[in-house]
Amino acid sequence: MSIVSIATWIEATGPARAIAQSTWMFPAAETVHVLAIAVVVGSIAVLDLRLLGVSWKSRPVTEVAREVLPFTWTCFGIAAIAGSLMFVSAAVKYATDLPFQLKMLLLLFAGANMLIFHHFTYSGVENWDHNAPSPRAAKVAAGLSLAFWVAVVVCGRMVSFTTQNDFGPPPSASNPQATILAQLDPQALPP
Amino acid sequence: MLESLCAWIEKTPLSAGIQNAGWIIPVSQIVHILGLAVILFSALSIDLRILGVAGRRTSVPGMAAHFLPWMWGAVVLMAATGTILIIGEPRRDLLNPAFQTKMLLLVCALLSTAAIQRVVRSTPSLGGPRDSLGWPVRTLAVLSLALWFSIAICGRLIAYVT
Repeated sequence: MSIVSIATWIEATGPARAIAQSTWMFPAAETVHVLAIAVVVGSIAVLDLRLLGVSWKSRPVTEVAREVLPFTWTCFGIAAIAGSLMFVSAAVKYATDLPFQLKMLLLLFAGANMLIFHHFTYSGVENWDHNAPSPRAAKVAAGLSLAFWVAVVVCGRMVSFTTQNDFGPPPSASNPQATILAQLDPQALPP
Repeated sequence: MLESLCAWIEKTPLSAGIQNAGWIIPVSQIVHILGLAVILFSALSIDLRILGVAGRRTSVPGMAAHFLPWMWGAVVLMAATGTILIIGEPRRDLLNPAFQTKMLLLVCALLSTAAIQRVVRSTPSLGGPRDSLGWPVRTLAVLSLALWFSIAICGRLIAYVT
């Protein structure tokens, strides 16, 4: 069973079709997705910058982590749910889209980086909790985390330039340019 | 008037340059979203700390002192990238009700953030991690949080409203 056939099946389910046919559900999911991912990136960046010794050097790493990570995880959950709703509405389009595939790969990398950091480096945090910057392994993990999350945002933005969804100002008689522009240059179409 | 402003902006070489270089608008949007990440989490941290909901290990002034410089920096970054987006596609933004609402809310959000900054700085007695603030500042905190999130929502809706 190929990815495309699974995606085709997903797209045909009731909820997926409801989202695809609704005028407001996709924009609503996308808005929630963007707000949630913003908080994910904003919060994880605070911890990464602390590990790198860039900011909040006066506070122990564990304290910053305890303060910031609940925001990261909660909003990651929200972003994942909203993202899934967007995905199912046009599963084939997304599953076969290069920026989308890259984004999923980068999420895996970000997750693997986090797991490795958590199990090998953070387990000994009591020895370097007050150090700024943190040991090399922690700094590498923090740098990778920042890079992966920024790349996730970049790919996420590129998804909407490559796979135009069916919303936004539709081409019409009063705005025939939209159709012409869409054929010439996909970037000319919102969102 | 807005119509003629758009027409004028569109005729400038700068606007044409932005449109012709296909990468400028996507890159500006990406930087704009990263700026949003900084602002939303900073606003959450400061405002929820004022409300006593999160971050109580840090004092209110400590939280504000850490996040406000990041927040103002991100405001400048977003204003710059936002201006590039407006110059590149003036009609998409200036004539859009979602954009117009966003600008109105932005003025309110900037004022509320500046007010919070003033109150926190003029109350150095709030040194203790467990200190909480009075109802006027707590109201400001709720307002500020609601405004920044509404601005982000309006920003996303620019793509859908005409």
